[in-house]
Amino acid sequence: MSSVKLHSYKNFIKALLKTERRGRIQQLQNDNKRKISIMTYERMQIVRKQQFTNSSMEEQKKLILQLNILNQKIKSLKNYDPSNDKSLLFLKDSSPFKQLFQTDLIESSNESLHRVLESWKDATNFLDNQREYDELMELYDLSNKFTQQEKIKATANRVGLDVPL
Amino acid sequence: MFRSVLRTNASLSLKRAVPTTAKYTTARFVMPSRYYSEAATKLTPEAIQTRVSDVIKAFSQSNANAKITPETSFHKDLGLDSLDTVELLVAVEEEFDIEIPDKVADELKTVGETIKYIASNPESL
Repeated sequence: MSSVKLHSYKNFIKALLKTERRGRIQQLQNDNKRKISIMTYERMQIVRKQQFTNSSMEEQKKLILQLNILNQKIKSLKNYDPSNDKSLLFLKDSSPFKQLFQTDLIESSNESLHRVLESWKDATNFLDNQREYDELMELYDLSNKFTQQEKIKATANRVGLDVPL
Repeated sequence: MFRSVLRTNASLSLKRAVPTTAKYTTARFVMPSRYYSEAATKLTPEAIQTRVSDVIKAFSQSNANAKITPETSFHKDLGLDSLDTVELLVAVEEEFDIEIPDKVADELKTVGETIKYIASNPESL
């Protein structure tokens, strides 16, 4: 009987992890994008400075150095792929669920066990279906996650075009 | 502001124009190579072990100091209880994109057994 409990716990954790991981990867990607755009802006500022000041050689050297550092940082940020991050394979904090397992499944009486197991199954199914629903909404451009600008860009990309800056 | 950007881009593209055309002529004769055979995509036991140990190291619950060998036991060496082991196995499933059936998962007690199962599963990536 205990293995049945463990299995329902496992399925629940798995569904939870898949949902959480997807969100966290998305968040990290957005963070990354933001950082890249900030750095690109900084780079543009430096290029402007280089063109408009009649400064000494030393200052120019300094600017070039800064530019190189920024370029390297941007490159490393662009190479960063959050889906390779192994720590995302684990839940951020699983202690509440462990506690729930203890109180809900271990300590429940034999008569109510059937019902408890059923409710864990329901929770798992809910998480899975919700995730699938989100994925499909995203696929068909119906979610509110994208701004109008991003939707236009996606539409343009679909027919092999790109929107101007 | 935009003009300056355009100017830099234009100068860059001019500079690039010559070498890229030169590259094209040589690149045209390179045949793209693709391997559909099993040998190219099959996971080696060593690769599986490094990936599994990376996953274990990323697990905050595990005893990080322990050295991970195929003989390492989840319970004895890593100090994981049954619920932690479940979490670890879920992570391994996600990492290799496989499903470990419940009956097999109950039997997995050491790193070596897990590696063996992953290697035997044709769907693992």
